[in-house]
Amino acid sequence: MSVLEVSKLNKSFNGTHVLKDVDLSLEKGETMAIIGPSGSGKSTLLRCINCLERAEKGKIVLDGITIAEEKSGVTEYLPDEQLRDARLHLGMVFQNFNLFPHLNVLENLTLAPINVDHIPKDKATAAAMELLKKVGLGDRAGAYPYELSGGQAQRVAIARALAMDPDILCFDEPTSALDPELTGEVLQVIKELAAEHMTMLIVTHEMGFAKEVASQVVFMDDGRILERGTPEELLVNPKEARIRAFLDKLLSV
Amino acid sequence: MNILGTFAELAQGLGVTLALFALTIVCSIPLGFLGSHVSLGKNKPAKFIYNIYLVVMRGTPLILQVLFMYFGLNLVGVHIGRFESALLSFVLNYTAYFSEIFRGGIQSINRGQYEAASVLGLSKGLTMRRIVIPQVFKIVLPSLGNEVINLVKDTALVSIIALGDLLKIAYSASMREANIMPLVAAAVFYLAINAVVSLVLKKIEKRMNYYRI
Repeated sequence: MSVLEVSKLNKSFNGTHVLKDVDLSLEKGETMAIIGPSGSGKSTLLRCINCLERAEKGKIVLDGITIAEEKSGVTEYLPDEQLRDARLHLGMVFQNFNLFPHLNVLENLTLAPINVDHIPKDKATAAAMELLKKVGLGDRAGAYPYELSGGQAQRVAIARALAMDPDILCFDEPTSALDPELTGEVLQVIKELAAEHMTMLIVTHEMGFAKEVASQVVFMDDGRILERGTPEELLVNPKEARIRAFLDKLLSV
Repeated sequence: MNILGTFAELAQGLGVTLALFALTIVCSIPLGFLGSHVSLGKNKPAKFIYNIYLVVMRGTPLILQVLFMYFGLNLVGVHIGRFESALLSFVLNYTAYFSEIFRGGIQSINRGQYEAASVLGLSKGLTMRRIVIPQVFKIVLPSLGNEVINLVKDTALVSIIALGDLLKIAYSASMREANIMPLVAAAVFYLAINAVVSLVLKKIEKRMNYYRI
């Protein structure tokens, strides 16, 4: 069963057509990597799915809930409150972590469970500590974000997203802001999540990682999805010349 | 010179000054915060009118505003006391400054903070209360402190409408006694108030140092 169904999604920024009739479906337990050159619209696609940006046209169905649908040519979203509930099916990990600097690691994790899901504080704290252990940061609960390395901050951000128990976890270039030696620890956490069959949607530049962790890879170029397939199909023997050119360029560096 | 009597007079003036100072702070900081939302909001007519208010308040001398408020209100038949009139002008003036400080503070909050809050399902109100305001407070604290210190000194302007504040009383006593000491005493009082204000501000800033943005 598809947990996410996107059809004919279109988005423009000030007249620049960024997404062009994008169709995408994601199965439960699947890890999908979205790759492609910068400016191809992959981050915008993720942000549209998350409703951080609003698409002009197209339809988005999340866990069977239609959150955006075209009505007489214009896409309309659910009313604010319903949309907020529906969006909780999605977790999001940002390129720049976006941790709350005035809250410590534990508070970053428990803020939403306590205030949005109304989980009792002791339960939320216990769950958060479990998650911190899971990402290898059980001993940093009291630290403030400025005291963390980039890799640690991103692992906290992953734990924070997981604390809301999402059905799909989205990553927007989770390692792009990290020093190269710190990407490994973050990728390791994502790999473990994939092994547990967490449904994930990952926009990434890390081809090796995409190959290793993704069950499906999508290649985007100029606002369109050019090809979709398993990592072997897409990254080893791509049909599209555009993808071959892109991969060659990456490998030649 | 009747030292004790003069001192009692000065103490009374000090009370007026402190009351004006405290009430202005208590009213204009929350009002300024609300006002910053008009500046940052989407209501264009409201923004336009608010902007005119900001330009007038920040573009004319406070002493003139105090005069206009007192004599202007009396001219149109509204009779309020000197203190109330002074307080009203101060609140209007300082709200404008605080509002601009808060606007800058809110604008400096990274968009990512709002995005992170929104993907976690935080409502607008919760985002404001738990994410934005605590960070804005830390950012604006130094500018806010400057204004608070300015306010202590600005209260002396109300002498112009013969309100018996610290300066007015000290000046009268000084003229009456042909002695400069009451004015010196007033200076010491102003310095003392600001010493306390600075100390409190430093304490708050220190307490806010537990994190960095």
